Amino acid sequence: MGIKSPQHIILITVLVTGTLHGCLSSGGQGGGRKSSEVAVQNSTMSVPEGYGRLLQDNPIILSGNVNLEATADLSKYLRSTPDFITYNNNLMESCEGSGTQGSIESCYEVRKDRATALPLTAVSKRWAFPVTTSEFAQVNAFGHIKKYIDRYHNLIRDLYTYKANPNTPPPLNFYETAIPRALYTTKAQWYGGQSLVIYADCDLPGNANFTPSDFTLCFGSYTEYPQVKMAQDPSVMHHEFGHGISQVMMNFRNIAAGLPERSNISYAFYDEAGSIQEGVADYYSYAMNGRSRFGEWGLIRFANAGRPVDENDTLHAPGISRNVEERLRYPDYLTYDSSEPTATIEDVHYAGQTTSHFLTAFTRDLQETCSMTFTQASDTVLYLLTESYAELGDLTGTASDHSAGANISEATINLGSGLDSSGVRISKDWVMKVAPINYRNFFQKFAKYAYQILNKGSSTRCNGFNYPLDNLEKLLDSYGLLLFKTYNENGGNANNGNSGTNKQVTAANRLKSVLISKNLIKLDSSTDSSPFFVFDKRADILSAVANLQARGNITQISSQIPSQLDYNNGNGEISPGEVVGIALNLYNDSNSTMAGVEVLANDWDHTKDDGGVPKPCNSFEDAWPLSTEGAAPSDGSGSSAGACQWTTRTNGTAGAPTETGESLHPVCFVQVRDGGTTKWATQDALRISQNQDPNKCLGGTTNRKDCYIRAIRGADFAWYSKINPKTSWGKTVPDESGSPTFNSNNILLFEASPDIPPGTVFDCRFRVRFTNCTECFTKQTDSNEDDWLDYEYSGPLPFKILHFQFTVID
Amino acid sequence: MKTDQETPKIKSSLIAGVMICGIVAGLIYWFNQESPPSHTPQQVVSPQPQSKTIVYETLEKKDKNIKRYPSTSVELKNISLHKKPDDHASPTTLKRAGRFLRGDDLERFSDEKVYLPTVNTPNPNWKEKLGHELLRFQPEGVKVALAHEQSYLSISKGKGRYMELIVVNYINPVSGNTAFRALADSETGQLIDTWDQTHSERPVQIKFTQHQD
Repeated sequence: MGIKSPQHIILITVLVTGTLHGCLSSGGQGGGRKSSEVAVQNSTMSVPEGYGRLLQDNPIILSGNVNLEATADLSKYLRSTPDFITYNNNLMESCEGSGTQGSIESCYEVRKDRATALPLTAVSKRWAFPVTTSEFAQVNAFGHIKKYIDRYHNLIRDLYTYKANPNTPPPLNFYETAIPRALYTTKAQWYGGQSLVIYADCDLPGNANFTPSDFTLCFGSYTEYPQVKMAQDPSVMHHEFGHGISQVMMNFRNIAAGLPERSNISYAFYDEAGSIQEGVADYYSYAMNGRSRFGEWGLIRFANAGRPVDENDTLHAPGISRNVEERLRYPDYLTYDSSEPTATIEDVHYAGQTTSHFLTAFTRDLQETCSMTFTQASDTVLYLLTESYAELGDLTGTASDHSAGANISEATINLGSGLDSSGVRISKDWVMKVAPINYRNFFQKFAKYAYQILNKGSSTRCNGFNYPLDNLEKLLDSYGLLLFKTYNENGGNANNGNSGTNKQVTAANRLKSVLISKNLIKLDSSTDSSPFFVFDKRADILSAVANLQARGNITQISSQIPSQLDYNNGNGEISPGEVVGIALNLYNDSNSTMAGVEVLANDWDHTKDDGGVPKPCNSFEDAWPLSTEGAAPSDGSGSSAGACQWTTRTNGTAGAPTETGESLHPVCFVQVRDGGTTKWATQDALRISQNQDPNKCLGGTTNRKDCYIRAIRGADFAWYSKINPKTSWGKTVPDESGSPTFNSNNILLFEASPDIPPGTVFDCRFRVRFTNCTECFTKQTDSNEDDWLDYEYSGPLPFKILHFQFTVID
Repeated sequence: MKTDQETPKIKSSLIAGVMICGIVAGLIYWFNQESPPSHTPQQVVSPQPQSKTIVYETLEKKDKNIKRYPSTSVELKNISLHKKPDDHASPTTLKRAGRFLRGDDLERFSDEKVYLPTVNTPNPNWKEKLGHELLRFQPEGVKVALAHEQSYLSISKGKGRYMELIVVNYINPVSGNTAFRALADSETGQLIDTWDQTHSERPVQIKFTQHQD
């Protein structure tokens, strides 16, 4: 959330609570069930063994009062009928597997906080505690998350056994499921079989989190209102648990295959994977309560931070409705906060609203078209989300145990499970930054499974009917999400990814989803702007490095860089020995909004070996550098491994004899003197000309390609939510002062060697794309408008190339 | 008198009877409203000390050196102790040099007789080196509680690299704790890859201010 002035916050709070009141009192979607308001003493002996009491919903809903005070007596909203909790002596439970496999004895447990070593113990085998206590919050969290865990396990077991049935290969099965055969034998259905530990009363002011490294959920309370706990609001807990099960789904295939690595639900403060995930988590909450908003008590009442999930909700600004013209369309509403409609805020939660609103609309469509109950329809959506995440997060690359590829060992997604030269799995780079989840490929995947399960082959899985694909395409389009031309059933394999069955989207259904040519993204060339921003203030950069490192976002920083960043001088230029942040001043030269802009500074295939010396290829769209300026010699006719026109199929890892001459190269080249002329060359060429010891390269003697300037892994990609027509990102997302706020997701971090000779000129060749781009995902030369193959993201074609040229100043 | 004395007894007996009946009826009504599950209660064994519990070690920067010691209970206060992953969570059951293999051509290289050049050599001080990497940009007072989960030999293009699978917990008394899982080089302690990062609903923004002339 953006920074707001106190007056602003008060005004918004008044507006929101007023609106909320209107909503509740009118009996709308947020309509409350007013309780009898007779306090129920939740004493131990008032319940039978194994029982306790829960707040059946959050206090706002139970009271029907949007202005309920933090000090309200919540015991008034307990019902006298006790709730079954568990017969176990501790607040913990087992989970059934499938048949004899996959049972988890210690599946989940609830503790007070991270300082508490064991789950809560029953008192006289009972779970009733006064509503103001931490014990009550723990029981409440257990009871509500148990409901979702039971639903989740029942759903996954049903998919595994009957619907997706991975043990039955096509053609006996009707589609290729991403759910692995070894789901239960490896306990991949529950992140390898760990116990999910839920901390119901965490020391986390006004916050909640999910930590996959120890498989925990943490629910905090408010410093100003310590009696208000997130664990009193089931909708907040279901949202957070939704992050957990999305992470589990993304790693079904990785755990089943025994990989140690995991895919993440997001990778930056703002990225589209993260924003979609927030919308999906909002939907998980909706799937449990069917309400048009979530977080009424835990987020809206005291932090002004809840969100609607349906255009009919009265929290929305005027002009938003379920009318097809007035939906929360991508990319127009990516920065929309319903409580502050005129502000533009680059935040995953707000951006995620398009996703949640689409999913609730699709649920309603299933209810109407397939005559499904709400539970049936929402279970169907959860089914499609399960398949989508299981495939998108697949680091094995196979997408299914019954792959679309001719050979199931051939990768059809995320390039493949091979390792790069440093031992990092290539597929992990694809999921994180090279071909990450965005609004195009997520909804393409979701649509693929919807098509294959509900429509293809005269399917009757729409509750006995065939689901009309036009419904889905038109609905996606009404949300601006029909950004793909085919369902990409044939995957991204290098050999067969552009052949085989591939359902095409009906072009006539694309009326509101706008695609823009990649050529219309540029650097801002206006006279009052710089095409780049350089950040080198020591305190800022040191704080950024420390934070990103502690969060596990960045890995290595060269030992050549001093630990206190002593060289960082804050002059806005790049100097020897600094760690610097770089942001391109991106400009949208089209008449439509561009969104999901990603800048890549990772190594890619853009050099050619010329007699043992790598030289920059100039046969790409940027035609850089000139032949007289050091470009690699032209390929001549044809293309084969080693040529500029050949993109490596293995991300440069195969080498000879499979891909002789193919390798990746860092983004930055350097100007060197060659006789009487200057040429663009590799950084190693400069090192040789300087007669510098390779030990002094940033990456040490074994890594000389980026000896002087190196993008820091993990901070070598940047995201921007959207850019309005005919303007720059900075002017699209201004803060109160009119300038943009640069967050870590907007910045590429580079380290500069202390040994760079001042005056040296570098040119960094970044690759840029955006989600609603015509050519960045669809191969225009393919007659079927199929997608680029996975390997092609190692090269130039799916991207716009933008250069950042700078001189190192001492 | 007798009658007068008996009447209250009868009355009180009647009242008591009515009360008992009422309580019984109430209980019957209440249990009919929401009967406890009829299945036999399934007991889950209470947590016991686990033999496979991971041992945490604290890494702390002292006078430019990294001090390593078993984590104290205070340091572990906010860290969830957990079990080591089961063996099925390893990429393969194939091993070499006592380490699980990951990467290419594992079957062949699981045979110790097949020569495998390696790009690094395990260093007994890898944890201290890792500690140096993890703490050198961190402010005073920040510590790392490290859990070692598994050792790997990673094979790519016919070359091996020794790696350690670890869980890194930053203990930061000012900005809060963070955690993630990582692969680290067994010789230099350098991080190679990371995942399983904390997903916070309201992460602290890392802001960058523009240079002003």
